[in-house]
Amino acid sequence: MRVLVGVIPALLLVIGIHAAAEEATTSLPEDTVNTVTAVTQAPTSSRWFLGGTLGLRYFDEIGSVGVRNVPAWSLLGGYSWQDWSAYVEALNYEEITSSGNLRVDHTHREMNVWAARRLGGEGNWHLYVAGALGAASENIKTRLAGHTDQRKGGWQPQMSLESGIRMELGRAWIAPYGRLLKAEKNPELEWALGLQLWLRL
Amino acid sequence: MRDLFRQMLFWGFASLALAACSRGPSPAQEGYRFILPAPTDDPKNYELREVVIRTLGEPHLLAGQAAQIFYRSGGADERGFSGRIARPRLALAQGVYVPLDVQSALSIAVYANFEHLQLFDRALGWEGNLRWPRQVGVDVDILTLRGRMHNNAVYDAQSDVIAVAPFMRGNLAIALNQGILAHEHFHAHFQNLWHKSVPKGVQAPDGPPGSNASFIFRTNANILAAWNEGLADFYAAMYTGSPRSMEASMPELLFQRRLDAAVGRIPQLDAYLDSLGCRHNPLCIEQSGEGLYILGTQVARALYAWDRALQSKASQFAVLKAIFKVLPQLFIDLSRWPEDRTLDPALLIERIAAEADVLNGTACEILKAALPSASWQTVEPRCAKINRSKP
Repeated sequence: MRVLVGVIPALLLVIGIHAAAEEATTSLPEDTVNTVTAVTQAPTSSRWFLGGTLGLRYFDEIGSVGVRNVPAWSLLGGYSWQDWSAYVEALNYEEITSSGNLRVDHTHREMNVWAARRLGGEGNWHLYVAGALGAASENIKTRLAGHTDQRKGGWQPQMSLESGIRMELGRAWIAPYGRLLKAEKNPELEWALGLQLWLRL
Repeated sequence: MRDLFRQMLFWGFASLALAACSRGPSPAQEGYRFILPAPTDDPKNYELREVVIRTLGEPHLLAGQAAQIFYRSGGADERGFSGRIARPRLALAQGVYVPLDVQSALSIAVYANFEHLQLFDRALGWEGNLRWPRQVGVDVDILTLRGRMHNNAVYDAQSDVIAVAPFMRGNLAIALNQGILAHEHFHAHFQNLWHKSVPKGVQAPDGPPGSNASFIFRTNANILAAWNEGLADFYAAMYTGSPRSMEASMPELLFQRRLDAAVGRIPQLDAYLDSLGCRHNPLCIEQSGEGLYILGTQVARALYAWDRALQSKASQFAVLKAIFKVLPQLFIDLSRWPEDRTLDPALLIERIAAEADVLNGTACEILKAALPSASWQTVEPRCAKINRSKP
């Protein structure tokens, strides 16, 4: 149920943004449309795409010792048109920590719905910004000597912001990015660095 | 069309705002529930179970009435630990908070233990002896003359904090061991009671290095430290209900430190110095750090057997309560101790035996076995009176 609370508004937002883009384009007089298209024409045509990310998820250490990170990966799929793209992301990371005979295996999963907008650029690269609404869930397996406790947290809403540089290499896009995340139940901000790889279909 | 997408944008933001405002279980008086390692009925075995913490204002910040927990703090001074208070990483699963990593689990478990210690002290009437919330550091980088400390915990009297060093072995981490934390917590009581009882500057000064005065001073300090260790072990046994509370983390210390072993006779001073190899070597006493634990354990075993001998609801923790009555006056006496006179290792037990309501026939038998004859003679008249009053 909670995932719907996060994903439905995100979908509504993305559809709204898409409709806004359409409305903005189609409501202009014909001669203006030609001018706008000439100025803002995206170097790529509207296409479906698939992709993935590899990166590191960072969070503040629970005390005063800075940050630590875990490797994270995700799968992406979406649609791009002109300066905009919208896509869905399924992200996953796993973390194992232990001390003495206590061990915690933590698997994090999240679903995000992204809306991204291309900013200025040059040649085959450009800057972009993106925002997402989504939800995250945790699987925690705690082991102490012979005892095991396994729990699955409910889906918690979260918001993300991302910025990066997208480089186009034929049908592929590569984008190093930085990301900020705020989950509803976590008072701390998390952040991530990574590399996106997209392939236009 | 325009109206449609405006409505979509509005409802998208509105529903997101509603979702963000919804909150998890309210703490109120019920407290927060966590999945944590906790001892079973057999305190050497720990299991994972729901533990309720009632004194935290919020689950993501380990600062409450009972304790302030610091994770890998850089250091401590008179004001306590530096750095920020631990903020555990948690998931909420069916109303229960589950730590996402071991660092969070250790830190929350330490807080939970200090909440119980505060209740225990309150029940004994000892809570006011200490400043609360207690400060505790987890996985603290402690530098000693022998290098970095591991697999241990210390009470630092200067900053009045407890520091738990990183645990590098396969047993129960020390931060989870309720007995070891209770042991260190008692040192805070001992230290604070000393400062409250003894006016500043009254304590006998150390003599010149190698002098007889210095030897006496250091011998007395060694015996006082042995009592401190023994009392801390006894306090931990009363708190956990186990005479073997260290076993889960340090099984190799079981033989040396368990309190349910036979009560041995507490040595007189010369025999104690002989056991340390220090009788004729004034400088030796400084290097006899390990030896004082042997005397401490002998004291703790006598106290533990004595407590068992008073088994009744009315006398619950009677020996522990008597210790707290005896220590302030004993500390005052020690601060005025003649500079040329050494302490008797059995003096502490003698003083406790002088307290009302802590003796019965079985306890007297135990004291007869534990005390050297000179000390027993001071206790014997009270025991004789008890025996005469038996029907």
